Parts: sequence; structure tokens; C-alpha cells
Amino acid sequence: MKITRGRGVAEQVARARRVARSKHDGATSGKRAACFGLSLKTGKKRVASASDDVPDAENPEEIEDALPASPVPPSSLGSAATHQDRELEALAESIKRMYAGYVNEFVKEVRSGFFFGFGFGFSFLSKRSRRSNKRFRRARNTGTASRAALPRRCTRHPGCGT
Amino acid sequence: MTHERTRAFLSLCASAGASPANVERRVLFGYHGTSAANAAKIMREGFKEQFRRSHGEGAYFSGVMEYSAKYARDHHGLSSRNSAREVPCAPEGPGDILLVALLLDGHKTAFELNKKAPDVPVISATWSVFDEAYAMPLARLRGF
Repeated sequence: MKITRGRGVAEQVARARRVARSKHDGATSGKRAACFGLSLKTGKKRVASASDDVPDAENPEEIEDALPASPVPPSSLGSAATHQDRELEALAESIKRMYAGYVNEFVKEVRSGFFFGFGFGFSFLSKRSRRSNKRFRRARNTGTASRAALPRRCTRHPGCGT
Repeated sequence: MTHERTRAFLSLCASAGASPANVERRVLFGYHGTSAANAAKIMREGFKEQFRRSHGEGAYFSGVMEYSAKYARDHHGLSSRNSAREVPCAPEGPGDILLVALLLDGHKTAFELNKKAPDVPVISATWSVFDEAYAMPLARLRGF
């Protein structure tokens, strides 16, 4: 990266490192993105990880990828192919076909984006709100929970909707 | 879901008279809104009575995805009492939706379910109750 005048060298180097790191692993920066598990800030696809076995509503294309090829693996029916096993296998196949036929409709429904209307109920608990959360739990356990005892709302992230 | 439970579901389907020829009339899809933690557990182990949080005779399913999304958010998000037991900033988000195969014989609600057009094999009810054994989770959507 070209280092230009007008900025502190340390700041520019830090920025270059940040850019290089994000180019290297495709990750998005920012606390909010990391906490969401979604790249809401930049719109980039989030980094795949071991826990990414389920799709995100934000990325409908992931839904298609995450759907199993068959809802019922043949191995689940056992190795001994009795008449009943064959019957169940045929049934599993027909459910699989129905399921595969529905995937398009399902994805279309998610892709239509109705869920944006609901917003996202994420929140980030600070030390202060953790204290009030503790107060809320205590109030709930004693049966005196009220709105005043509810955890404080997020003030750090204006876009998180909580 | 475990192979035993998958097999149990298929056996139930077979004993209820479902066959490859009529499976579209006996098995439909539904949505189930729940917390991220519960969704993971259900995907692993299937629906169980022990997981039941709601009152009633079984698990609740909807044919309207928006309804399940709203349920997942309202009842398992930050605004609910249950959420105090969960981590509010979990990476998965506040609630998930499961796509579930439902054997219609397990329907326990008073009203009848009318089957929609064959190209949309989803239960035609905003909410309905099914016996847990008659439900098989197929896919999970998170972040609702």
C-alpha cells in the first residue's frame, strides 16, 4: 500500500495491516460484524467456520448449500435390507423428492426478505447492563420482575435494534 | 437427527398408511420457531417432550414462516423471560426457524388442516400442535 503524506505513519501502517489481514482471510472488521457472525457492515460473505453448518437468513444462497442432499441417509435404515427396510427406504426417497421440490419455494420465501421487517434483536451487554441483568434475574426469581428491572438496552450499537 | 429417531418417524409414516404414492397427502412441511440453543438440540436429537416449553399436548408448528420468525424473536429473544437464561449476544442470534416434516396423523389441534396446492406442501394453518414423534426436523435457518 502506498504511504502518503498527511497521516501518521503508525496509523497508515495499522490501516495497511488491517486491509491486508481482511484481504487474507476475507473477514470483515468491526465488533458488530464479529458479534453478529454476519458481515453487515460491508456486505461481504462471512468467513466459513466449523460452526457454519446452518444457513443465515441474511444469505439465502447459504440455505441451498446447507440443505442436506437427503433428509434421510440410506445408512440410517440399516444394512440388512428386509422388506420393511426397502419400504422405509422408498418412503424416505419420496420425502426427499418432495423436500427437494420444496427447496426452491422455501428459498424464494426467504429471499423475498420478509425478515428484514422484524429487524434483529441483538444486544450487547456491558458491565453495567450485566449488573442490571443480575438484578432482573433476582427480581424474576422472587416474582417481582418488572420493566424497570429489565436489562439496559444497547447504547453502543445504534443499528442493532435493541 | 439420530438414525433411530429417523427410522421411528418413517415407521410411523408407514404404519399410518403413507407410501411413495400418497406421501404428499400424508406428510407436509411446517416451521418451528425456537431459540438457537434449542434448534441445535432438536436438529441433533429430534423433537422430544423434554424440550417442550409451551403448555399443551405437543410441539407447535406453523405454515407461515413469518409467524415462526416472530415467535422465535418474541419468545426466545431479549424481550422474553426465557432469554435471561441464554446468552443475549450469542453468535447465532436470538432465534432460529426449523423446517420440519410433519405426518398429518400426529395433528392434535381441534381444527382440520386443509392441504394446499401440491406445489406448496406446507400446512395451511398459522399454528397447530403435533405430537413430537410425528415431526422430523429437516433444515435450520438462523438469525431471526
